[in-house]
Amino acid sequence: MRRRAFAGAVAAFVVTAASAGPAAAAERTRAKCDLHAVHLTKKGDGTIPPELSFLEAELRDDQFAAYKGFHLLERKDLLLVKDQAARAAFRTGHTLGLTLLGGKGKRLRIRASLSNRSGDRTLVQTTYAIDDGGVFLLGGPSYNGGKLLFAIRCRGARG
Amino acid sequence: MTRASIDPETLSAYFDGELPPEDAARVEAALRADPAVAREVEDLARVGAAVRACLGAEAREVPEARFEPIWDRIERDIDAQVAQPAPGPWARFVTWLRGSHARPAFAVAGVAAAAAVVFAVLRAPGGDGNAAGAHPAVATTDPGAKAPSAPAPSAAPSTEAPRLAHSGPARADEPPAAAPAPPRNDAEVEFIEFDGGSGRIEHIEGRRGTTTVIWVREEEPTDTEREL
Repeated sequence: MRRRAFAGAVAAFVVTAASAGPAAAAERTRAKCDLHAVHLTKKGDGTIPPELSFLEAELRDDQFAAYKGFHLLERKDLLLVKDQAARAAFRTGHTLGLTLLGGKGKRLRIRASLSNRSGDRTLVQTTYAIDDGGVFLLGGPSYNGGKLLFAIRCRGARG
Repeated sequence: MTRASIDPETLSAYFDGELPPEDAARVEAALRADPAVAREVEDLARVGAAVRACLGAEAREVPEARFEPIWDRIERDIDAQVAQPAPGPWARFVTWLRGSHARPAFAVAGVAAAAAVVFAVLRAPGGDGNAAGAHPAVATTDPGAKAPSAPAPSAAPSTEAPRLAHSGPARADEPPAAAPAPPRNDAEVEFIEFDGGSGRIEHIEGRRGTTTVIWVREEEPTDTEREL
């Protein structure tokens, strides 16, 4: 029984290594990003909806203790091509700009900028490196009596 | 913690660094107390290293394009499993059967039953031997593959993608055991500038590493700006 379980684990490991190996070694020239605009409010029962379950660990952190309502306002997908700026305009009026600067192995280098609702100011611009598929958060803009939180998650690809 | 209380899945999760701190501490205590547990973890490490070394050279020779569809299918499978409802009695029975010592006997019985049904169809008046679709018990061997699943996130047509070993419900932020290691959120902020106000960088420690949160604070426009 144990030997069979061990063989199963080895097989799973082989599939995993075969799938992830070459992708991890390649330089990333494209990335698919999903962007989530989350509305944080102080009214609510603290329930995190299923569509935000991937952020549950973060939203349960003390930083968000003041907020009891978590609502996904909008989700957008962006396809990034290396060194080409892409923008996602949200219904709130905010614009999130992303540029894939490259990446080696599992890491992606991304430049991100967030503009205010009227689009006349850039609230923040940053360059960061993160694991392929990792989540990066930008929060703070006021919206409808609460705050906005933008979750950025990108997965690299080639070609 | 006794040896009997550490199942292989827990050891594997510990080896992959996926256990919460308290569970990891219990496994480490067992490692110190029980040489058999330590040997098992060493085995996992040896096998992992050997497989990586073996596949590394081979994988480099394979065009990556061949792996892209596989990767996409794995992602679709993970999404489908997350959205899948709890397995029904039949799915649980099949899962139990797969892990049971009685599997050979049930397999023989299944083959015999299938042969009997096919034989009955062929012998029936007007039977043309085409039993496909007429007897689901023959056609379907894995009800899990027929289970309804959520639509794939991409526009690609639905395909009969091979399923991963895990069939139980999974939390959305917790990939199945057979999935690749979850991505870590550890971000390295190389540059930051708050143009329209001020802000700060915060971090959240979690199972997926450290999640960076950049909080911006919008400056209220001055009276002069309001007038403008």
